Amino acid sequence: MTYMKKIDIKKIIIYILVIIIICFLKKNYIYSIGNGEESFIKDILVYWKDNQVVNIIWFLPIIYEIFVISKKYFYKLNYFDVRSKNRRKYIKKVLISFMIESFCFIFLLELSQLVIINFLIPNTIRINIDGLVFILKYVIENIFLIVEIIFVALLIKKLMYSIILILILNFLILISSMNLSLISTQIYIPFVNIYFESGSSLITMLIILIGIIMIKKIYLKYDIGGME
Amino acid sequence: MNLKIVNYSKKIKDKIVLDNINLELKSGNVYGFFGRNGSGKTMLFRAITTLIYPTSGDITIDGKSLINDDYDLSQIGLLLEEPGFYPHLTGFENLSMLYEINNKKNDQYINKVLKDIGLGEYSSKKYKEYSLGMKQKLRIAQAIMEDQKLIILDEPTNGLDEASIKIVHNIIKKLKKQNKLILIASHNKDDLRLLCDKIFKIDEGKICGEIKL
Repeated sequence: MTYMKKIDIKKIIIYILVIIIICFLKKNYIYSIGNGEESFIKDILVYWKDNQVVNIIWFLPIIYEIFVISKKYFYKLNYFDVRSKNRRKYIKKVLISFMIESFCFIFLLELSQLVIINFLIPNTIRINIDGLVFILKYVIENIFLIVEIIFVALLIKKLMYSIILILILNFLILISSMNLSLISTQIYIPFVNIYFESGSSLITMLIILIGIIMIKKIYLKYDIGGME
Repeated sequence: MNLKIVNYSKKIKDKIVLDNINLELKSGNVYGFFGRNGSGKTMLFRAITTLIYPTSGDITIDGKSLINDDYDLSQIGLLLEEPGFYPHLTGFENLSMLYEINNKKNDQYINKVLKDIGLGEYSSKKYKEYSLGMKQKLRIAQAIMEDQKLIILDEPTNGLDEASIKIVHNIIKKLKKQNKLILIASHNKDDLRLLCDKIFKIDEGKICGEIKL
């Protein structure tokens, strides 16, 4: 049986609709076109101005991607098929698949936005090295959020609380950094950093790695299912 | 196969859900676990499949610890929770998907499994369109289809009509003849009386001894 059969057509239609709606909403607020390709790429993916309602539009794809991926993998971690032989083998398989899938999913979500908005506002994007680095950085910083969510969800055994908690925490840090200028180029704060473009995502990658190791450790002692 | 549960206890949030369980179970037998809802039957099965880890004690199969030795659990056929079926796939596709987890593929065999359990004519129907009884039969099918040595069935006849119950009983009897070790939890006395060699009563996480029904 091919992998394709597992894919639910309804989910793909919802995915396409979500991207199109987000792109239409974003299109209306992108002002800084013509400031160079890299700036255009950045405007499509991260955007922060005084209007908080408009800022929320830019968070929608982030909320969408972290919800879809964390829900899928939290479910996988709470479901263990004995056919997978043992927990150690299972978690290894799940984590590898998580890294590949989350990378591809976020990358595809970004790319779709770039292509659709470039179609709506004709502005030939040519992906250069800087643009590509920014795209990869954005992917890494978003994977960081998902790892955080899964880690906390395993600790408290509740996914929705974990999503709300992590989102509020990260957005609070972002808002404080923006308004109070707490962040400088010397301080690297994962996720928040994509708005400041300072430094590479090496620290985030390290935190993701530690997060993955911690998720594995927790899972090997984790009770699946609850009380009867 | 020799399954041993030694001084197994499990505490969840200050509540003891399994209390010093000691059992020795051997192949070629059907063991029943009888008790009211919440007595610890399902929890015991969760423990045997390492879905939960003990507060103290151990479980071994042929001397190998399930807790510490990374035992190969694919030798266990399990009907406990929803086995991750995809609602938009057919019964046949769902079984094939599970069968392929360990890189096995045999469409003819999957069709035979479905026919044996009484789902032959519904193999191309989507899982979401199955009735409760049909879903239960598919769950049983996935638990027994891979020649597992230990079969664990939690409430196997839930939602089944009389004819289907007969089919399931015959399948369990056949598995017993194949020298499998079979564990059944049920609050249906008929299931246990007709199928089991030994029946244990469970209450408040404790094995209260053998009973006759």
